[in-house]
Formats: sequence, C-alpha cells, structure tokens
Amino acid sequence: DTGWQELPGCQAVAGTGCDFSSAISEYYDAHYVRVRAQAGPLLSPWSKVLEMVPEQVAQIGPPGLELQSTNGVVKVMVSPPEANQRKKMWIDNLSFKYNLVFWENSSHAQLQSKNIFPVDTIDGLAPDSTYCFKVQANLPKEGKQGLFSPTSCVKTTQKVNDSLCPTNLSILALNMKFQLLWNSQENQDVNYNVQYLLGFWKKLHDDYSDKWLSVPRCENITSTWCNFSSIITTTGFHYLRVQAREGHNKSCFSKEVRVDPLKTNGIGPPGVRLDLSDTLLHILISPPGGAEDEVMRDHYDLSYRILYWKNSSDMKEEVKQKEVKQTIATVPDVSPSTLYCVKVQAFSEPYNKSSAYSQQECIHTPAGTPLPLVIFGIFMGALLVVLLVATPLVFVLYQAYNKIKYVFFPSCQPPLNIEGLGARPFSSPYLSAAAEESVENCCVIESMVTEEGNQIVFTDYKHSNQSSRDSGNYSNDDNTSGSKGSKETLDKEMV
Amino acid sequence: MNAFGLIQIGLILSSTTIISSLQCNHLPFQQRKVIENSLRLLDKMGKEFPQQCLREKMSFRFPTQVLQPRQKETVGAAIEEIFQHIFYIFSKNLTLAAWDRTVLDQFQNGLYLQIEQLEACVIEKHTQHCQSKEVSRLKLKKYFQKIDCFLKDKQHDLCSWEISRAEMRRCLQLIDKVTRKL
Repeated sequence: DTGWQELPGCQAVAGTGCDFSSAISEYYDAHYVRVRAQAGPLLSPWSKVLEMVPEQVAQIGPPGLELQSTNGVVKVMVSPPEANQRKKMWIDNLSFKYNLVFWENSSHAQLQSKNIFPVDTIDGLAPDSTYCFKVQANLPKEGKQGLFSPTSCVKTTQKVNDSLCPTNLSILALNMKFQLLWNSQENQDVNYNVQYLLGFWKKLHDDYSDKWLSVPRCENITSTWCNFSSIITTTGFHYLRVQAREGHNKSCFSKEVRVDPLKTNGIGPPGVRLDLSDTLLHILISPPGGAEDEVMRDHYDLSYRILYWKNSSDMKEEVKQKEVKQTIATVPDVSPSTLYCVKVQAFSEPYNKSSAYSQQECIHTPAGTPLPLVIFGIFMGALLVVLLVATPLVFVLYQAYNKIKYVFFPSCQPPLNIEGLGARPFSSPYLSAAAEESVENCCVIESMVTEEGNQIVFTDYKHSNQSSRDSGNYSNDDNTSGSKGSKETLDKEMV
Repeated sequence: MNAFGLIQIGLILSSTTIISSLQCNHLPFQQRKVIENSLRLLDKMGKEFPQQCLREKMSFRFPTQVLQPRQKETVGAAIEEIFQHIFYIFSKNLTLAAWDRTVLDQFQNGLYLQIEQLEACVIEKHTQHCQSKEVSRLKLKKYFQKIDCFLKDKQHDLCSWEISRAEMRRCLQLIDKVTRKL
C-alpha cells in the first residue's frame, strides 16, 4: 500500500466530487486515483483504482476571439487556449486547428463553419448586417474538440467597390519558371507591386501583415504580369498578392493566391535525339528544364514514356511504348530501310504529372546487306589483310634466315691445307679477319723461270696486290692465278 | 514573353483557391527531400557549435523506440508529431540565437508544408485508436516538453538555442535514417 498519497483538498469531502488539479504536475504520466467513504469511525474499502493520463482526459478550453469589421469583410484574430498561463497542458499551441462557426443574426440563420488560421479574414458576407461568431480549438490527431469561445457579434460595413484592385490572379508555371498574371482596369496611371508571403506565417498567432515581401523586379511595374521564379523554393509554399497604386493615396490589394511549387508547376516536354548503330536505334533524351538545371529531375523523380513506330505510307503500323527512367533508351532489331519515328513524354509518378509529348523525330535506317554477302565480304577482307601482312613477314623472315645461315653455317669450307683452320669451329672469313692476315703471311716458294713475262708479272703483282687484299676468295680459287698467287704472296713479303 | 513561348504546350493554370487533394503518392519521395533540405538549412542558419556551450550540454534522451519500424503507420504518425514539435520550437523567441532569419524562415516553411500534407493524408486513417501510437505520442510530448522547459529556464539564450538546434539535428538525422528504410 505504499506510494499512495493523500490528495490535498480532497480529504473529508462532503460531496461526491473534488478538484485535485493542484496535485497534478506531470501531464503525460499515468496517475492512479482511489476513493473511500468514511462515516464516523467506519471506513469503507477502497474503490476500484481509476487510471488516467491527465493529457488524455483533459479537454481543450475555449480560445480567445477578436473581431474587426472593415470594408465589407470581417478580420478574425484567435488567441489560443491557455494563452497567458505559465504552465500549459497544450505546450504546442501551433497544432490547434480552429473551427469558426458564424451566422447572420436574423430569424432563419444558417450556421456556417470554417477552418481558419489564427489571423484570418471572412468575406462573402452581406453588407450592413450583423454576424455572430464563435470559435473552438481542436486537436484532430488526438480526436479532441475544444470548448467554444463566447459568441461575439459585429456589423459588416459597406464594401467599397474599388475597380482599382487587380482581379483574376492566375499562375502559369512550366519547368519551374513561374509567372503571375492578373487583370486590371484600363487606367494607365496605375503602378503594380507584387508581394509574397512564406506560407508558414499564417500558422503562427502573430499578425503577419509585416511579413509580406516584394517580389524582386516586380515593384512599381506597369505590366500585368510578373515572373516570380526567383522567390520559389522547392520545399515550402507561398501566397502572392498584387497591390495596385494610383497616384499617392489610392491603393488596393488583390485577393491572395496560394502557390504550391511542385504541385502547381507543369512539366515541359523533353528533347529527343536519335542515333543509329548496327541494328540498334538509340534514343537520347534531354530532360525538361535543360541539362544544366537539375531541379526537375531531382524533385519530380522523372520517368520517360517513349512512343515509337515505323512510318510507312502504305500500312498503319502499331505504335509501341517503352517506359524508362534513364535518359538513354535502345530499340533493338530495327528493320533496315525503314523510317522510324519517335516521340517522348516526361512524367512524374509521385506527383501524377506528365508533360506534353516532344516533337516527333524520325530517322531512316540504312539499307541492309544480305547476310551471306556480308560474311563473304568479311572473309575476303580478312584474307586480304592476312596476305598483306603475312607476305612481307615471310619474306623478311626468309631473308633473315639466309643471313643467319650464311653467317653461322656457311655452305663452303676453306681448304684443309691451310693450317690451323680445322680446329676452329667458326671458320668464316667475317669472323676471323684478324687470323686471316697471319695465314696470308705464309708463303709457298716456287722457282721463278721466264724473263719475258717479268714486266707483265710485275704489273700483275701490283694488280694482284690490291686484289688479294680485297678478298681471299679469288686468290684461293683460281688455278691460273695460282702461280701468280704465289708470286703475289712473295711480293707481299717484300712489301 | 518570348521565354514563355512553350507555355502553349504545357501550361497549367491554378485557381485562386487552395488545391486540396488527398493524393498522397508523392509524400514518401517528397519527405526525403524535405528532410535533406531541412538538415541543410539547419546547418546553414548558424555557425559551428560554440565551445563555451559545451559545459551546458544536456542529455534529453530522445525516445528512439518511437521510430522503430514495427508498424509503418505508427512510425509515420511519430514522424509527423516530431515535425510539428520542431516547427513549434523554432517559432519561439530567437533574437538571442542570432541566426540567419531568411534561412530559418525557409526551414520553417519547408517543415510546415510537410506537416500540412501529412495531416491531409493521415486524416483518413484517424479512426483507429492504437495503444502503441498513444504511448509513442506521450513519449514524444515528454521529450519535447523537456526541451521547452530547458529553453524557458535558460531564458532562450544563445547556448540553450545552440544545444536545442544540435538536438533537433539529431532528431532529423534519425528520421532521415528511418525514412530511407521505409
């Protein structure tokens, strides 16, 4: 039985109820209450325990209401319940939804109900009539409806029909470029000033009239349109209004228009380019808003619907459809010598928006070659290439082989009677030039006979002198020059 | 007017009344964008966390179990609740925080749009009274009450705001993680 505390102000109570608010400090915690009766010394048993969470059982009190009647409309200002309380049950007073109920103070009055912002205007009222208002604060998420404020009545004034006020505000939006248009009277002396308000200000309890800002480049203009793309962000919405000014004292504000950028905006058509390679048709899509601007792609999660068909004059071909997320699509197996036409549409699945179709782009596929001819052509081409490459290669290899064979494995051997040659493995004139000279130093001496031939011999000597230096081939092989050869060698010795 | 020559192909005129639609398909995709944007703006509105405020740092103990994806609806309702509370906190007296007012306004505006759209979509399923939803809701209210009291006690000075901002960043990062999984 521990933990139970006595409730102050609820001890020895005569009636069947008591106020124990002072004991409640934690509004979100579960509390348990029990009661018992006492008659003299007799005590009843404890009642069943009542479990409750203060915040859950609490009711929302009445809000405050202020009314202002101006120019045929009624300005309503609501102050939240617990407005000036130090300790609040409903800490977050911004989550209240205010329900305004109003009626004309006449015999058969019809109740009108409207969800309003804390600071709001009620129009569409009959002029010079008394209207009565009351408001309640609700928390729909928690299923709570608050108590109504006391009823307050006010008389509406005559509405001054100012033709100066801009009317028929409309918005044109394409690819995140926004334009506001309005109607005006024919008066040339009118200046316009376009203002915007960040949407969330209306949710707060303060007066937001000082929170309106001018749209850049739309201040003091005479045209009846304004490009307000510069103030648009993709997260968050705005209200817009137009002020018309004539001279110094006359001014009038138009009605407000709300802009939800991503919902209001229209998606423009994408760009299309076609390309062909072999039997593939490539469709290259450029997203709406241009390649440099990523806004459209980022915020709309764009996909593309491609329609393509064969454009032939004689028969109607079926239009095929393809949906892609990337900006490149390929159509396989296109028929040759055919005109293919393509058009693309961008769409956003989350926002259920689609653009207009792009311009139709057509491309003619080239005349196809029959397959066996293609194969034969490739074969001949390959053969030619092989021949062109292989022939010189074989020739070069053959030449190299010959040279190597000549250098390392010559077909003719020097005579065996030349000393010292048999032992050497590479008996080639190229490789043993130095040794050759010593060989030439050996001489075979023979008896000299004739006188007539002397001169001739001498000239021959000289001649053969030179020739013998050139190549040993000639001196070795020739028989007739054999004797000369000996004389040559003799000559050499002398030289 | 030349720049708008293509308007003939794809113009959309909006009426002067609010286009209220219960089309909720875009919400999950948009929510991810809103959270990304909110985190970016939260960082942008002020400078780095001041050293002198480290001493005053408090643990508020965010109830992470409310974001445990046991039931998609409960988590969705919890996220909406958190957005609403963050929106409320940043609507208080911020003069001492000395943050960039323009950035803060954009932050608030983004949050508010998301709250409004969530309300429009969730309102259809309100009839189910779920005990776990109630428990989540109360836990979140307690958590944000702690932060509200903290700010009040410190009279909304610079350090209390910076600590609250860091705490809200943590909240949004947790929501970001959960949203990506959903």
